[in-house]
Parts: sequence; structure tokens; C-alpha cells
Amino acid sequence: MTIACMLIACLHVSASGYAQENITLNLKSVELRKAFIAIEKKTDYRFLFDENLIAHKPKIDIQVTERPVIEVLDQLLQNTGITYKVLNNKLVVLKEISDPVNLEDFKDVRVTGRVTSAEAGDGLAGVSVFVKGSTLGTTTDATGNFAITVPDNATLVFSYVGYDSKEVAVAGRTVVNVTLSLSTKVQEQVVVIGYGQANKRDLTGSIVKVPGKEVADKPNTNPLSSLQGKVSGLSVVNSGELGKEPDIRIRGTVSRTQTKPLYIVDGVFNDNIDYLNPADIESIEVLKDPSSLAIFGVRGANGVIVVTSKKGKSGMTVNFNATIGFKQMVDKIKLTDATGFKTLYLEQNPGFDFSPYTANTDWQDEISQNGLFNRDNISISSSTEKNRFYMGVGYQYEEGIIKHETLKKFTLVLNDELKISKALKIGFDINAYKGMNPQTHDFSNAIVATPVVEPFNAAHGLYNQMPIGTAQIGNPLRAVEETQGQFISNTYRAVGSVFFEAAFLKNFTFRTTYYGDLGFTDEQAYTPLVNTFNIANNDTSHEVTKTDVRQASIKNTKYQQDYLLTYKNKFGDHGLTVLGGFSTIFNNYSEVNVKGSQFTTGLALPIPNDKRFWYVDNRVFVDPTSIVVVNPDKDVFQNYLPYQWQQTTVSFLARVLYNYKQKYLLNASFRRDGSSDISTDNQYQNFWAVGAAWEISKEDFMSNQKIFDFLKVKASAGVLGNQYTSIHYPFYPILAAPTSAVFGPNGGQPIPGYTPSFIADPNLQWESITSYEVGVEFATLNNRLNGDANYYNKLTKNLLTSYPGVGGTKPGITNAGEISNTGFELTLSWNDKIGKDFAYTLSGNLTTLKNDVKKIYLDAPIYDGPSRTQVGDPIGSFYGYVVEGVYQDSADIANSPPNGTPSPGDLKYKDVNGDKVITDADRIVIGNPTPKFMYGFSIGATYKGFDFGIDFQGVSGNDIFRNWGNGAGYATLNYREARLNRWHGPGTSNFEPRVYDVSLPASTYMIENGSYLRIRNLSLGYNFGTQTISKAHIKSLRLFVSAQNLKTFKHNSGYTPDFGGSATQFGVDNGSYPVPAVYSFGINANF
Amino acid sequence: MKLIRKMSILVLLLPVLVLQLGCKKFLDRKPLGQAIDGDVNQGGVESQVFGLYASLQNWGMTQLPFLTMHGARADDDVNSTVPDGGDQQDIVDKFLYAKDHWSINSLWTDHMAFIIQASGIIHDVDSLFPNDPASLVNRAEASFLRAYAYFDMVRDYGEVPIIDFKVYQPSDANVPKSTVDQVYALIDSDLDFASQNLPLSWESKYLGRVTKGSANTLHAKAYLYRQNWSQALAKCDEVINSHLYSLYSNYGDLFTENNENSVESIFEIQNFESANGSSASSNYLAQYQGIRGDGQWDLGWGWNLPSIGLVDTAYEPNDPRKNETILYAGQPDGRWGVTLPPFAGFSANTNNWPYWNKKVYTDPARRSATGDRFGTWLNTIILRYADVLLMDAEAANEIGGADNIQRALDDLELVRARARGGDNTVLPPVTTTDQAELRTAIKQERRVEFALEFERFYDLVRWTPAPDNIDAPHVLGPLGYQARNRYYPVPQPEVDKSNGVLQQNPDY
Repeated sequence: MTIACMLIACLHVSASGYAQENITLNLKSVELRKAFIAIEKKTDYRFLFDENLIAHKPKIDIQVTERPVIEVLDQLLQNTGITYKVLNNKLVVLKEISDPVNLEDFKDVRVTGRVTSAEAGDGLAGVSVFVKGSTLGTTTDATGNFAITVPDNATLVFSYVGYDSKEVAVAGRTVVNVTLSLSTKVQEQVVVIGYGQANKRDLTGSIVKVPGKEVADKPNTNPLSSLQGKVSGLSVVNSGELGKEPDIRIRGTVSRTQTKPLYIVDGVFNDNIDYLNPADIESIEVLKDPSSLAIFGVRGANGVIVVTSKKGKSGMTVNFNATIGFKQMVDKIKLTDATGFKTLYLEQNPGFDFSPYTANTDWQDEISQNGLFNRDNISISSSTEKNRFYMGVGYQYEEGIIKHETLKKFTLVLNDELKISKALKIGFDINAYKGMNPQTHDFSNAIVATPVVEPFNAAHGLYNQMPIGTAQIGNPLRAVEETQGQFISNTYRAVGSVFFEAAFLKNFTFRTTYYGDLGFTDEQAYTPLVNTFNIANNDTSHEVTKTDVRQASIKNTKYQQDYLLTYKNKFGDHGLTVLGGFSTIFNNYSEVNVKGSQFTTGLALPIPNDKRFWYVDNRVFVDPTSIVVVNPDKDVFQNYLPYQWQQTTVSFLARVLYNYKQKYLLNASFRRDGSSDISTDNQYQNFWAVGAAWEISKEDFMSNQKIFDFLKVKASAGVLGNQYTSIHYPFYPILAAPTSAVFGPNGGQPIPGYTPSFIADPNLQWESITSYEVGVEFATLNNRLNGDANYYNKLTKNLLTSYPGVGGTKPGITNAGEISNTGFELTLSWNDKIGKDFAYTLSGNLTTLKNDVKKIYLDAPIYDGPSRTQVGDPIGSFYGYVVEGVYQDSADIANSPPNGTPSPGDLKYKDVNGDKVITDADRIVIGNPTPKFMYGFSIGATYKGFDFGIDFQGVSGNDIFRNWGNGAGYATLNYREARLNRWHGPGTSNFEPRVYDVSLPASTYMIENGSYLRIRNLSLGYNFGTQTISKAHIKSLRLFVSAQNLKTFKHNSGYTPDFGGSATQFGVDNGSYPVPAVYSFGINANF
Repeated sequence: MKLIRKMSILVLLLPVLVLQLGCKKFLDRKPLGQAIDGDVNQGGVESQVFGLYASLQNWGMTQLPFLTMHGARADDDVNSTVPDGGDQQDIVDKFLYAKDHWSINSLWTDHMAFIIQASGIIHDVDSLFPNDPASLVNRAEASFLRAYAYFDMVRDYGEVPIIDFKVYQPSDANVPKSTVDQVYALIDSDLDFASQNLPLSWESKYLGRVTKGSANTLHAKAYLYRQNWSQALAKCDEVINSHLYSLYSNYGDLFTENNENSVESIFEIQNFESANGSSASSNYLAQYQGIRGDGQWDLGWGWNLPSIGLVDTAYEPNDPRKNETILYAGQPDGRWGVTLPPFAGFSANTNNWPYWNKKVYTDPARRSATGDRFGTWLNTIILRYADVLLMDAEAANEIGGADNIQRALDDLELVRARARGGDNTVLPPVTTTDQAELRTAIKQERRVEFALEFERFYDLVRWTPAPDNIDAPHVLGPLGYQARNRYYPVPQPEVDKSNGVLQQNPDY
């Protein structure tokens, strides 16, 4: 049958034989269609017809009582020029009488078959099978089988979310088997959303899916590192420091306390995902807009990154992959060598006797190395009709680029899903990990230590002291060499879940999941005696005179339970999915951290440098009376952070996904969160979002255009929450004894005096982010060009603000302040083939960021190091003087606005406020750490067995505050090489001041351009043809080489242009650690 | 299968059960391992008072801001010669006061916080236990400590807000400044109450709590600062006639850790570090002032240093106090038998000053035992009996008359006799009966007796009732001092936060 049919029918077609049915109808002046609908409602008859056939027929009247349907049909179609035939499943086929095709040729036929996946070969359950142009049809069962009775010349359409649809003409066959292929079209992707998954096409928000293979073969232990430059709106700032989490922000900095998004790994809520092995990740979804995020309520404001681990795939596959490579320090900081150092130092301190110091040491070279890394993974995946099994085991070894830094990780992923019956499913999921954490150092001493000292004094067998700044700077090489292995830290973590899923009443699914996240860390640390050699005094001196050992044991456990009820149905043109749920999270942290020191009397032996003795209960070397709990860090109120806390949340959630003709979409979600961190009086807070979208390309008027293959406009708005406070119990001011009263003879005894440490605000509530987004998605040029463009606008209100006391009163936490983040995102990708063998992809993304602080508590700027957050400027702005130049001579000083008692060669600041004197009031915002825009672009190509990829990534329009090399204030240290161009006489420099001995106030002198462009990844791989390798029983084999961070085109003088940080201080270059280039070679084989 | 169906029914019911059991209880979490209000039976107000003593060690009370803001403004103290003195150095050594500087700011806020804490205790006693004798003693302690804080405030800032009521929320504390006289009136009434209710002494385990003697001594000083000579004299008399105090026999040993809370001590901030260094409750004045050297000579930052003027010109010939106040680079320490590292010249960063403050120089044995080179255990003497004697002498001399002059000479001689340390060839007794000459002698005595003990600047200022007088302008003028510098500016952030309630000091 070649004509397009429109069929109004329900999903279940009766195959029962003829039975005369009677009907009562009373219709006046209605279209034929209405009459057919009425008959369908009252009887088992179904109609199959061409829409055009009945389009312009006159309206009819009919009034019959208990008449046979056939008779009624005859009456209805009288004088309409339409004839019909009733097939034996009560299908009524309508046709124009004048049509030459003989109605008598129509037959109906029962078609059975199986739908399988082209990739995995397993049966696909729930595939929709329907007659083309209609919704008459059925769905496949759990094993992919279907059966349907249709006209023998119908065309069947098979469609399944995430797969390309397929049309098959029945052509009289009774068995139709079909394979479906995963769709490569962006809009057809299945994406994981909160508490479920959906076809991207049905959503109104912005979710970006990154397939697991993008992170699997990258040389990063943390999978998030590999997302840099890949996703619009997502900022990833990596640190080269071994094992350090990257700084992740989605669509700007929205809070004062927490910047990173929520991570959800296979359903469990998490704050870090260090424990994941990139090789076991199926996909990563980045959720950015209110429509996608509101379901996460009080944790949604910073965005969400959803990680899904690999699950078993049909058949059995064993995968082995291994990568080996090395990391190399690039962009070394340029410092003065011995000659340069002496020149400058002598200008500052004439007559210093350098004669004992003849070396020319490059401390960066001394402590650095090329770090090796190696990763090996093996996984087994197996799936049958009833069971899906996946197991992955991984080992990762990585060295830092400072000597002796190593990190080891062992990972295990184990999951299984068992179908007990058609309606019942259970499964479990385990992600386990052991990490042997690195003992890290940094370069901050190496870039300030004077080059004139030999690192090691061979004659005395000791490391040399620095002659200059001795109290401040230890010998950097000694710190690396002599503390080797003195910090032992192992982290163990097991994150797992068990679920039960029951389908009932056709459209309902109930799913219960219990999650556990058990994390433990054990630490041992040792402080050795430190002897160094002082060249000037020819003396060995103790830098540290007492040994001690520290032991810590940290436990972080989390339990989560989700109960989800889903209702999914289709009513004619209306598609509806409703989700209701209940969830709780219990989070528990405790730590024991104790330190014991050597005896000071009696035995008085130092604790040996042997890890056998690094236990505080060692009574031979450790004085039992010296054992104390190590003071933790302090919170914003200067109280010690607790070594234990608990936090709970209770949440109710709901979501509706609705579409009309899959053309008009509406998504709405709601969450009510109760949290133990908020006062019992207003414990619950509500969050919601509504989104709408219109798939214009489905409209009739678009059917004749050739420009857009797909076009969708979307908008969403909502209120999201942020629950991160700077302290754990904002309603219970702890009784603090920051100091103790001391009374009594012989040195006295301390008596703590307790006072509540802050004022609790009874009305405290969570930060709420009012957010909206509008966007457009399109595919054009024959689906080769895909695009997604969005404008986002977020306004954070009720910022959780810890404020200092006013006039000596206690500090507190309150809701005050607003921050706005707005921007535009664009993602474009182009896929094409040239000839048979060459395929290529170009893709790029761009995000603009604009941050503006609207209000702050009492309008008082928040100071955080060199950063200042104040009304009217972006969060964390750099603040200081504007340098106009360098005073060239005393006449220059005399002619400039007075500023203390400067000398020629000092920096000359600008009189910004024009009051003819330089004061604090002349300081202004001199830099913004947030880029104006960030971008990434990639080129990928395959030719026969070869694949090639290159990724670029960069930011533009931000500033870096150089917080090193400015003269340390407390001691003279090594100089930046640029200091050789200092002022040392009129006319010698108008930017670099004379060598000086004071700490300079923040000014544009320290501001550097933060824009950069980086070649992030470069890779070349080769896939062996199956013929070559099948003899060796290998299904597929790929070899590849890659380079990461090959080159960074930057403007600043530090190691790297990327600097993360806190919400109110980031983009500050403390000169601590470079981001290395990584070269690797890998193999990936499937058996 | 049946079992599984039953299980799934159970699973379906679980959320209902959980809801039934109550989210309220599940969400009710209080701090673990940390006490909150109601957890600690603090035994009435006494432990609140202990909290107040503890707060004496707050940053702006007796730590770095206290040291730099109180000490180095004097001609005899140099804040620091190394650049890490930073802007402090200009502020205190050159009188370039900043309106918004962390040091001046925290001096203000921590004192105000301390005052608010004390007023809360006084309020609690007045409203809850007005007749309980033990609570009245605690109230007296709080009154003394509030007066102590206000005395600092009034001499550092002049007019300051009076908060003599309990503060429940920040806005309560936003009150305008009171006049200097009003502040002194509060100090007077607090100290009167303290004097009437404090014990003469405490049992041994409470050594270091304030006494009647502490209150009278501070009150004498508060009168002295107002040139109220007769009241000052009367208060000194009370202390002297209590016969509880005397001068410690050895001037140098007075300042060591081995002679804390000596017979001379009247009010001493108590610091603590356990013998093996494992715990401490202390301030860091000794560290800030410790020798700035390398290795074992890294005893601190080397701030608040003896000035060249103090070393070269302040002392009478061979005054033994000079060598007990000043340590000389490269010379034997004259106490523990070790030699200091040499002076490396003014240009280098370490050992960059030839003199250090010996009054915070700690026992090497103690340093070794604690593994702490920074002397955090060392007490800080605030009021001592020599002060009483010299205040008595000053007040008596100002009142005049033969008896009073004689009394002043006697007081002076007691102090000088102790200073001689048995060597009668030095520090001849002062014999002049001329009021002006005696005044000069007393001023001279105060300068050297209390060198580096935070008295000098305030003495110079209070001796300058009018701008044309000689002391502060004459001595400090060359360093940059102007009349307005007797007070600091009110911290600008506090002025800003008050929304116009708090007014900046004149001339700033």
C-alpha cells in the first residue's frame, strides 16, 4: 500500500472474528471523522483511511438506534464518493470509489518478528512498531519480539529512543525481523536526567551528553579533567598537582560558598568522583538549565553532572586496554640565575658577601622529573535475555612532576541486572576503589629559593640552608628528598546500590533503590629531625628538633534511598510521563586525627625514620603524655571544624513530561527538600521549574523547506537551591573556647571558658537561584550541521553570608546578597564523509560569562586575599592601584600626587579619584578572574583503519593575579627574570620598579592577561581490520598515541594560565604547580 | 516468585513506613562532639568569667595588634626593621595612621567584643543573682576586665561607644560614641565595684585571677591619666598598705618563666604551654618579639625592638636594668650562658638589628623540652608593684608639700634600690626636693623601669596635657607625631557599618 494512511485506533487490535455489532448514534452537522471516532469509541471497529479522502466532504447528520454498524456505515458514506471494505479484524479500509485500486485486493495479515540492536545484537524491548503515518501498533516484549495484524501491504515503522527509526514494507510477509542502529543524530540521543532517562527530543532543557569514550582513553585519573573545553557552559580548570580535583563550574559562579556541581553516579548523590575509573564510564551528562535541574532541588543550583557506568551488553565481550606514557613539565617559570640574582640582590643590599656561594642552581630542575603513568583495565560484559552483567577491574599508576610523587589506584566496577519476570527486575551496582594517595609538594619554594646555593653539601652530607630568607624558605630539594615516604595515605571507598523495579497496571513502574557510599581514609605522617648546613657559619643546625608521628582515620558514609513511581502513557496525540518520588540522604562524617611526639626527658630518643614506628601508641619512642588531637582547620567563625558531623535530607519530587504530537513539549518539575541544616521552623523549601519547547520542523508548513532537518525552540524557567553553608550546624552555635583562662602556679593550668561562637539566624533559608533559559536546537544541511544555542540568566538570591560582628558583636550567618550570571552558549558540529573511507567531524563550542554582584550584606566588600567581591563588580574581582609607571627621579616624584615618601624607581600609582593625593581611595577593580568567554573546538577524522583527533580549548578576557615574584615582603627571594629590566636609573624602566624590600600593595603590576589557547589533545589511532586479527580470536584491536596539553599559547608568566579556587578567590597564580604535557601510547582490544 | 512479590510489596510499603516514623526526627541533627547552649552546666556565671579571662588572649586584646599598637609608637620601641613589618611600621613608627588597617581595626573590634562579653555577664548577675556573694565576686571580675578594656579604648581612641548592657543582636551594639569623661565615669564605677567585691588574693589554684589590688592599681592609673593626683595617691595607698606586694628582688629574673606571678605581680595575663609542648593556651607576644635568627636562633619575628635611643641614651651609667632589658647581637646573653648570633649588618634580612627585647627571652631548657622556640608559655605582666610605687611617687610629687615630696623620693628609692641589685656604685639615690626636677627624675625612672613594656607612649601623651607641653611633641615629634596622633582613627569599616551612628575621630 503506497498511500499514506491515517488511522485512529487504540494500541491493541482485536483479532477476533466477525460478530455483528449494533450501534446508536445521534450526530448533527459533524465531519465524517467525528462519526468514525464515535463508532470506534462504541465498537471494536477501526478505520484506516487517507486523510485527504475525508478532508473536504460535506458535514453529515445521522440518527440511528441499535442498528448494525455496516448499515450505519452505508448510510454515512452515501453520496460521499467513498467506498469501504471491512477486513476480518474489523479494520475498515476506506477508499474513493473512483480509485482504480481494487478494494477486494486488501487482506490483513498477522506479522511477527524480532527487533535487535545492530551494535550489540540483543533483542530490544519496548520498541514501538506501528503502521506508517499512524499510531496503530504495538511494542516489542522483553526479548524484542512482536506480533501485529496489519493490512498486507502496510509499511511498518520501528522506532526506539536513541536509535534511528526504520521503515519496512510488509509486502505480504508474515515474519519481519529488523535491526536498529544507534542514532548518530544529536536530537535523537537518550539522555540520563534526574531519576530516569528520556529522549533528548522530548526535553525542554539543555543537557549535553559526553560519551564514555571521550574520557576513557585520556591520560587523566579524574574523568572530569577530560571534559575541559568539551561542553559549552562547563568550565574545567585542571591542576597539574597529582590527584587534585579540577575546579568545575557550570555557567559561572553562583554562590559564595560552593562552586562545584553535584555529581550523580548511577543515581547516588556525590560531591566528588575521584573513585571512578574513566574506563568504566558509559556516559557523562552535563545538566545546565532550570528545566533539567529543578528535580535536584536544593542541590541543583550549581548544575549537575550525571555519570553512568558501563553495563553489560549483549553477547560476551572481554575488553583489555592499557595506556603507558609520561608527563613532562612545560612552561617553566623564568627566574634569574646566579649572575642575575647577585646583580639584583646587590642593588638592594650592597656589600652582601656572596663569596661562599658560588653555585648556579636551578631549583625547578632540581626537584622536577618526567613523571610516568600507566593504566591497565580489563572488563567483562555479558548479557542474556534475563541477565546483564558487567565487571571492570582497573589499575592506575601515576607520578607527579616533582620527584617521588606517586599515586596508585585500584578500581572495581561490578553490576548486574536480573529480570525475574516480565514485571520484576532487580539489580545491583558496586564501584569500589583503593587509592594510595600521593605525598605532594609544590614549586612555591623552588621559585623563590636563591640560585647561588648548591643544593647538597657533599662534604658534610647535609642539604644547605639558604643564606637569604632562611627562616622562610627551606631547601626545596631537601623537602622533597628527606620527607620521601613520610606521608602514607590510603583511601578506600565502596559505592553501591541495590534496586527493585516492578511494572504494574500497564503504565506504572515502581522502582526502589538503596544506596550506600562507604569511604575510609587511613593516614600516617612523620616529622623527622631536620639537619641542614649553614655555609656562612660553617655550622649544622636543627631546623626541626623534635620528631612526631600523626595518625588519622577518616570515615565518610552516606546512605540514600529513592522510591520512584513512574506513569507513562500515550493518549492519541498526547504523550505523558509522570514521575513521583521520595528520597532521603543520610551523610555521616567522622575523623580521628592524633599526634604523638618523642619523649623530651628520660629516653629522649627521636622516633626513627621507619614506618614500623609511626604509630602513636608506640611507647618506646612516643611520649604517651604528648598524644593530642591535631587541631583541624578553622571555619569562618574561627572555630575548629568538627571532626564529625551528620547531615540528612528528606525530599519529595515530581515531574511531568508532556508532549502534543511530539511537537509541543512541556516539562515541569518540583521538589520539596527538607534538610537537617535548616531550622526546624522552616525546614522545607520548594523548588520548581517549567519548560516548554516547540519542534518547528514537525509543523506542516516546514514540510516543504529543505533548510532545516530539525528545528526546536525551547525555554525554561525555575527556582533552584543551594544548600552549602560554610559551617555544618548553622542553627546550633557551638560553645567555643578559642582560648582558655589560665590560673595557678608553675605555669598554670588552662580552664576553658565557653561562649556561643556566633549568632544563629532563626530565619535562615537556602540560597535560591532564579534562573531562565531560552534556546534553539537545529540540524541542517542534511543533518550534517547540528547546532544548539542558548541564552541563560541566573540570579542567586539570599546568598548565605557569614558576616563579621558589628561593633564587636558576634559574627553570624544570614541570607543577604545577590549575584547574577548571564551568558550565551553555542555548540556547533559538522559531520561528513568524503568518498567511502574518509569521514570527518568538526565541532566547537563557545560560552560567554558575565558575573555581576548585585547586593552584599551591608554592602561590605568581601575580602579574600587579593580578591574582592563588591557590589557592581564580578565576584572575586582583583582590587588595587592602577600603575602609571615608575618614578624616574625626584622631579617626577615632586610633580606627581604625593604618596608617602617614595623613592625614584618606585611604582607610581594613578590618582583615580582626582583628589591630588594617592590614598586607599584610589584603588579600583583592576581585574576580573572570570573569562568573558571560553571555547573549545575539535577536529576528528577517520580514514580506513586510522583515526585522528585534535582538541583545542581556551578562555579569553580574564585576568590573573600574579601572587608570586612581587617581592615577598618578609624576605628577599629569587627574582622573576623580568626583574632584570628593573628601574635602576632615570629612563631605565617605566614598568618594573627598582629592586625593593617591601611588600607592594596590590596593583596592576601584578595583573596578567589570562587569555589562552591550548592544544588540549592530539591523538592518532589505528584499528586493525577484522580479518587480520580474527585468527588471534580478537574481535577488535586499536593502537593509539596521544599528547595532552601539547602547547599552551598564553600571556602570563606563571606555569599555567588556569587557576581554580574558591567562590570568592580564584584566578590567583600562587606559582605552585605546572600543568604538564602528557604523552601516551595505548592499546584497546576486545575479545 | 511469590517471595519476590511479597518482597516487592514490602518495598512499596517502606516509604510509607519511613514517613510514618517521621522525617522530623530524621532531620533533627545537632553538632556531634561539640557542645551547644544547654549542654554544659557552666556552674553559674563563674565559667562565663573564665571565658572572659580566656578572651583576654584574643587577637586584638593581647596579641599582635596589641603589641604593635601599644608598643612601637614610643620612641624607645622600633616596630620592626624588616619589611614584614609592612605598613604597621609606618603606622606605629612614623605615625602614618591608616583609617582602615587590620591592626587598628581588630584592636577596636576585639576590645568592643570583650566589653560586650563582660557587659553580658554583669547583666546576668544583676538580673539573676544580685545577692549571691560568689556571683558578686564574678561580677567584680567582669567589671575589672571591662574597665581594663575601656581604659585601653579610651587611651587609644578617645571617645568610644559605651555598651554597658547585654547585646542580643548586632544592631543593639550600634550606639554613638560617649565622651571621654563618660567613659572614665564607667571605668570609675566598674573599678569601685571591683575594688569593693574582689578578694585580696585567691587560693593557689586560681593564682592569676584579678584581685582588689588589681582593681586599685588600675584605678590609680586611670586617675593618673586624668591628673587626678589625690585619687591616684589614695588608690596607690590602698595597694601599698595592703602589704600584699613588694618588689621582686632581681629585676631581670622578674621577667623569666621561672618567676611568674611573683610578689610584684598585680595583674598578669596568664599563658600556658604544657611541659612537652603538646597543648597550649597562650598568646604569641614572645614570638612576635623573639630574636629573628636562623635555626635555633629563630625565636620569633623580631618586632618591638629596643631603639637606638633607648640603648644609647636612656639609661644612667651602668644601670643594671639596661642589660636585663636588652640583648646584644653577638654577645653573651648574660642569663643562660649562651652567645647570640652576630649582627649581620643593617642590610640583611635576618639578624638585622643589633638589639632584642630581653624581657621576652625564654629559657633554652624550656624551649628544648617543648620543642617550641617561641616562648608561648611566657606570661605577660600588665600591672606590677613598681608601677604602683612610681605612680605613687608621681602623684605625691604633683600634689607637692614636703611630706609628699619625701614620700615620692622614698618610692623612687625603693625602685632604684631594687634596680641596683646590691651594687651601690650605680644609680645613686635621687635627693632633689625640687618638684620639677623630681618630676623629671620620675619620668626618667618610668622610662627605663618599664622599657618595652607598653607604658612609654601613653606616659608621653598623658604628660602632655596641652599641645605646647614638651613630652610627646618634643620626643615623638621628630618621628612624625602630631597632636591628633594621641588617638587612632575609628576603624573606617566600623564607621561604615554603623550607618552614620559612629562618628570618625576629629582630624581624620
